[in-house]
Amino acid sequence: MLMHIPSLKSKTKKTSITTLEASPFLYMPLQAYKTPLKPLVNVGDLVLKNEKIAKSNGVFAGSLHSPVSGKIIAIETESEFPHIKIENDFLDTCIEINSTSVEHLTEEEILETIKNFGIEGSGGAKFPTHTKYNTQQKNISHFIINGAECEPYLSADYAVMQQETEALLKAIQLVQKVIKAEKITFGIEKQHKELQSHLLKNAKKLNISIQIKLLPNTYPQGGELQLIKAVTGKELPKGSIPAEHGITVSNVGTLWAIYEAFYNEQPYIERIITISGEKAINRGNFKVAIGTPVSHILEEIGLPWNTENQTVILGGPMMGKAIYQPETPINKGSGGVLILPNPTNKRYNCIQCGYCTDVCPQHLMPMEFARYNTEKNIQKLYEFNLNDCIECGACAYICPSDVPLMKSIVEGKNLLHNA
Amino acid sequence: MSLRDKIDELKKPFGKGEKLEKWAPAINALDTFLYVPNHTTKKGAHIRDGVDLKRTMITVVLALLPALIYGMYNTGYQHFSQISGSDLSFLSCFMYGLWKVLPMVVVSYGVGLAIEFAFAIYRGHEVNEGYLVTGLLIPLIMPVDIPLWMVAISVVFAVIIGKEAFGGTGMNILNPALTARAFAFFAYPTYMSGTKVWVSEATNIDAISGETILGKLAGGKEVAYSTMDMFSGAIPGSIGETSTLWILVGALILIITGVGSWRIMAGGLIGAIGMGLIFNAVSANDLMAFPWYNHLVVGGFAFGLVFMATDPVSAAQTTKGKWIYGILVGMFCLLIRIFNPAYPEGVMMAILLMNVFAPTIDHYVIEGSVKKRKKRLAAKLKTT
Repeated sequence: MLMHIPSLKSKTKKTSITTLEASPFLYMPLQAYKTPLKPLVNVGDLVLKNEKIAKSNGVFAGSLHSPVSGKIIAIETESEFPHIKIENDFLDTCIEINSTSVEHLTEEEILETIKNFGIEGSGGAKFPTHTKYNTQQKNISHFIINGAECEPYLSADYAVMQQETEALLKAIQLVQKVIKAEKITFGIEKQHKELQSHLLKNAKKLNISIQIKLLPNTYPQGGELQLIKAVTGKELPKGSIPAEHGITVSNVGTLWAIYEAFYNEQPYIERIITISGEKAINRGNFKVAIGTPVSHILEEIGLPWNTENQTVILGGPMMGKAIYQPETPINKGSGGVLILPNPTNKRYNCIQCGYCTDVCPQHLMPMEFARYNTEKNIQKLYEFNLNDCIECGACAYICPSDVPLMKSIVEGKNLLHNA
Repeated sequence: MSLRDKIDELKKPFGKGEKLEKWAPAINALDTFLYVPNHTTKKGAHIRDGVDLKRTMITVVLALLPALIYGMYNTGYQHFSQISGSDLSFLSCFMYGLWKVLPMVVVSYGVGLAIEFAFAIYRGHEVNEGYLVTGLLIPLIMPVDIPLWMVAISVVFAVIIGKEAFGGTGMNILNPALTARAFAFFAYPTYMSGTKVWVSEATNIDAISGETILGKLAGGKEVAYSTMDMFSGAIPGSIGETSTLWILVGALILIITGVGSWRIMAGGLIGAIGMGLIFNAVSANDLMAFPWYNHLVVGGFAFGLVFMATDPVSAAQTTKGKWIYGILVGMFCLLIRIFNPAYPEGVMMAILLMNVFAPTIDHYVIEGSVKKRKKRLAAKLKTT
């Protein structure tokens, strides 16, 4: 059973995407999917907008580009939060990027550009997109576009689907050149069903054949395996890779970044986020540069930075993280910044009601994680398949006793990782 | 001055470092009973479902109300129709029942909550709302004329031995309310069974048909009630147990809100119906010949299955485990009723027995899943 949670999107859903004023300092995170990025610049160097400033190699290769022109004033690789600090000169001098026209690109060139432009999954996992689309050996039968933004408050993906429709569809066309799927399906939630005719109309104009699948408003509908199950009816075995089953899933945010890369010659240096929450003023959907510190975002919407009488969250309310460092930046996977009232916890004993098991999309038993994490019982944590947990937070949301389930899941995963 | 301010004012002497600090759990319990805590958390999900433990418990209390109100009415109805035979209007029956039942509820809550508060203060915990349910269940499964001090002692036993000894809310093995009833049943058998305890003030009168239907059956007497009477609940019995109709209303509330497990209830029905059909087919004696559908509407079966077997703490917690647990409760209930007429209230014994076995059921269900998964992984490794 997947659960329904209030969507809380109405306040930001219809706002048009506005560009947020650039921050005077940017903190570019040096962490890509599973690998740290190596800086290509030194302190004191001048960088241009769109210039590559860090990269990593290998299957999961990633790269990072400067969203502004300015000066490198610090590089921290050893700290808890490795980053490159850039001082913005507000000139926005761009680096020259030579490109051939989109129509004449070969498959390899498309993948190479996606890789070079540092495009990663924008849904949160930050999986390198070139690795995902590099599927020569496998036949992809189904390309699913993930429009299910199941986190409450967040409406950035909705804004892209509604306002950047053409960009989105052109990106789909481009990706289709590489993966050559037989069928393209757009998965959107029933709460956004007005998008259906809008998307179909635009697709017809561009002559792309897509299908729309309306999905129930459940959480976590946007999880990759949950989306595949909802769209195809097939539940893939835990731990399997969609491509093995002929399926590729992409987030609308990622596709928007791909459009920017090919049609505007712009690497992944900015993304669309939602600013919302009970304590926020000026809620809405904004285009912000990667590396923009959260404190700057708060100032821009007219809120002073403080963590005493409000909780600032990077990401959605379910999976996002509470932020206590004002320099914490927007990264390629952050879908929003939320300002919520402070929590008041009322912790009860577990009454073994089993709600957490009921709502777990991976059919796990979260209460056992809490128990065996306290006991530090690694064998049992493994047996109860803690590694299959997608950390969606559904169990912590529903728990009537407010047992710290997410905390024990994260700690337990560390135990397993180090064992 | 709003109520909120008043409570804050009241809470002041209980704050950190103040002289009444160690009594803080008591005042905090009052506060959270009146107000919902703000639902956001620091770790993990930053928003929370509106239903916390307190709401869950209050939902169960609401689900119990129809049975409680009908129970009060029936107490008066049984008394007037069998003894004084005068006024049978709803209001007068209800008022008589209220007069009889309310003191039991007050004693049950008073004694139970006092112990809970004492343990909360001793342990430095917050008081949990769990007792709100137990405290209402206990009077509903007692005969109406049981002396109040017996109720009090049963409550003491149930809360201390049945619950707090194991660590309090969420830790108990047995359902506390059933523990109270079992205690009363074995400690004061003359007040808990027989021909006269089930109708108020029946002890003064000789000729009375105040037995429960199951008691009658066990004694080999004729049953004068129709299935419809048994369903609607106008029969002698424990206060809240008689009306299957109003218990079903409660069951519906529990199932719709998701508070009570429908799997356990459905499993119990399947178990009882299956067992009933087998006995009806054998039909070796009157007890076995008692129609299966009547078993569902007499005695504490419906009440026990809806409100006691579904107690999440003492029931099985895995999905498959809940089915097994429910089915076994249903089967054992009928087995005990038929093979051990000394305990006509089979459902109490059946649930307590299955409470003990619930962890074992879960253990094997989980082991089964782990094994199945290992097998699948091994098969996958072979193919690749």
